[in-house]
Amino acid sequence: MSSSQMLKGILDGCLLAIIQKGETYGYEMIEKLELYGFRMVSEGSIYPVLLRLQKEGFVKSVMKESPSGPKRKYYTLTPAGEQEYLEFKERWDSLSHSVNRLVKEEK
Amino acid sequence: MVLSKDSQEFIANLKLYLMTSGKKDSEIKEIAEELRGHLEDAESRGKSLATVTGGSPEAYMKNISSEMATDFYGLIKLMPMFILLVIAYFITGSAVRGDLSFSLLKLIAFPLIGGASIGAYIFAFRKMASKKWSKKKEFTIFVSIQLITVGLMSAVLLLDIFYFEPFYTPSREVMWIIAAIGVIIFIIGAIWSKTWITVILPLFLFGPDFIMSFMQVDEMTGLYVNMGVFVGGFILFMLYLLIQNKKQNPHHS
Repeated sequence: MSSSQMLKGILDGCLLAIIQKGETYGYEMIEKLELYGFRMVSEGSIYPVLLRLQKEGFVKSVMKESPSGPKRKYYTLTPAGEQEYLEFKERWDSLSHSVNRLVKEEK
Repeated sequence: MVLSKDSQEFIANLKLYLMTSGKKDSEIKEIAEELRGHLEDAESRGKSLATVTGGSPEAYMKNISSEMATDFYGLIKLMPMFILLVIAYFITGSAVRGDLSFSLLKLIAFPLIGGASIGAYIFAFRKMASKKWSKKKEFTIFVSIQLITVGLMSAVLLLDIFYFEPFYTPSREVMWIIAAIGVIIFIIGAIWSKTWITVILPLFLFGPDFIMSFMQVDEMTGLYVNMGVFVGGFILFMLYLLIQNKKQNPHHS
């Protein structure tokens, strides 16, 4: 299983985490994800997720003109999004804890 | 910052794909603009379209489309105008020429052919947007649909002449009224769709008949004039598309 396939299931949560750190737009999210060591197979894969997060009411967005360069769509978390992020964190903690225990256990 | 031709094409195709998938106009514009911004940022840093779409634009378009709600209400709103326009196309010409009649066959067959033809066009547009077809293939497919539609309609007309009795043939005055209603529908259609196509196309198709109905012309001359205007109009339309294309992509032929 490639890491991008593994990422698929948790990309929603990762984007919530990035947006939770402050208002941001698509391309900047990619740059931030890369800073944390994520390598995306396709950068565009965040947009279907962002559409879904918006549909579910976890994020809201606003179009802004940028002084140099293209118009950008900035995302922020809604209260429901904050709540979802907390729940994601809990789920991730318990999952990663279990996986770690499993794979790091000496024979 | 000017986008590469590939990226521009991708954005245009994405819009077409989402449009023919029945998504909301405002939402299509929003995602297209967002992706255009991303592509501009990416290209200004030397990345290619493939790093954004992941190599398969088709799969990516499907992926985006699946996360957008289909605007059924919007589609239903479009239907009445659409149906009116199709009916107007079918009967205005005959009404102007004075050979309008209604028979059971026409009443059943024309809506079926019209519906099937529109369905085929929408299907072809969707495929065209997501697959990389050569210009030749695009042209062949669209001309084929057109030819099959015209062929089927001609077949129905022939059958109708030989085997079906019209159950209603309006008087000449009523035909003019029907033609006038058709014209009004075309004008409303133009205002509604904010394009001139629903006015210009009927003008070429039915205009010559209208003018000739006031003159004493024999049938053959009429036929030639009709053909001439139709072919001329077609060439003009193609030229117009070509010039538009040049204007939008000044760097490419």
